[in-house]
Amino acid sequence: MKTDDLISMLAKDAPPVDRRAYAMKAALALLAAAALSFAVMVVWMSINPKLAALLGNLWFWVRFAFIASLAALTWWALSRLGKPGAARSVSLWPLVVPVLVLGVVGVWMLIDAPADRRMPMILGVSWDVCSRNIAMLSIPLFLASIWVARQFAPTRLRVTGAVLGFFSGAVGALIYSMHCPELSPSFLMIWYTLGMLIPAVIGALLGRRLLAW
Amino acid sequence: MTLLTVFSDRETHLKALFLKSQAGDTAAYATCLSELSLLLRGFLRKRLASLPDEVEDLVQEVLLAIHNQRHTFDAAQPLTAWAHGIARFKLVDFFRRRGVQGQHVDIDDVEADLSFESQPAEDAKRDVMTLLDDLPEKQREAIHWVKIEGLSIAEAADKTGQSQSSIKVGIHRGLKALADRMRGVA
Repeated sequence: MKTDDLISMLAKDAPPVDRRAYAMKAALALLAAAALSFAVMVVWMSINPKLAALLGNLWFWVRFAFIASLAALTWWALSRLGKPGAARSVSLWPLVVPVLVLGVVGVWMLIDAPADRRMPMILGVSWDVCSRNIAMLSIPLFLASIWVARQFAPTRLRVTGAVLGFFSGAVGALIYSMHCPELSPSFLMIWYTLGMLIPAVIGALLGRRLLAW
Repeated sequence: MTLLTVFSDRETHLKALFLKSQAGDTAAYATCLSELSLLLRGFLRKRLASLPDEVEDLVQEVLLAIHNQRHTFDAAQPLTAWAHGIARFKLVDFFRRRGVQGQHVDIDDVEADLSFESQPAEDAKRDVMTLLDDLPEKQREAIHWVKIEGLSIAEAADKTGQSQSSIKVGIHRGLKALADRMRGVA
């Protein structure tokens, strides 16, 4: 087939583009996945019975800001990574900022604390399950994000895979935080970050295979 | 006229055509794709200097990719940068498929890259028709009657006994599947 014939073929009856329909499908897929993760959290882990009391605690909101800022930054990066031309200028450095800020606060609090309090601040009561639970709750979001990314046109496949994994991890962490009693910054900086990085690494490894178009 | 105004005029012109296309103006779309194909050919010919026979196949692959992903163009960005992003992605993918590692693809200077040298089309090596014949029945029928024979969606639905929405879905999926076949992965 000659290129001119291909062009006529592509243009023939090409329907108008409904960009909002794509945005809507993406939003629905991610909301459905978040709802599924939430249900899994409620059934398997249960909502923290003291959640209402925590709302008045400053550290609850520090934790919320930490996770939500990572979710927002990865979301913003993804919205550009799916557009050829715009994807090139996406930088991942802003993602380091929340982790770094929380890390500085965490280290400062550790130094300030009596020596026998330091390990409990780092390990809390759930260090051994935290990262795993976050990674597990991120699975539905990871799958939905892959599906969504495939509806767009990512040109940096490994980076897109990593960022969508990180995004899934952050939303998974947000859901997990409704169960999790831990508020110590050093705990969050280590175990929450690790939990979010697990899907990010998987995304980076699978990006080229799953996102090619 | 400076070089810069030439580029910005072309950007304005192509973008206007593309936005019309997105709104459903198929004549504007055909013109836009034709003009883009000239730019793409120039861009790819320069990059595939040692593989001139591959140029036209890749031009076609990029045009199909532009079509399949056209909803990812955002009116707030320059069209040439968007098209260049797709062309570059397809070029890197092409090198990777051929096992050419570490091929340096110069990504800077978008405007200079998409230089307007009216390059005549050469024959493609791969025949898209053959690939279309290989698609699943419903997709093949939908594309054949609407996109090649020029029937309306309704006429094609009558002709094939498929529903109109099945014809639309068939075209959409068929063109996506065609892109995979061009890459040799389906």
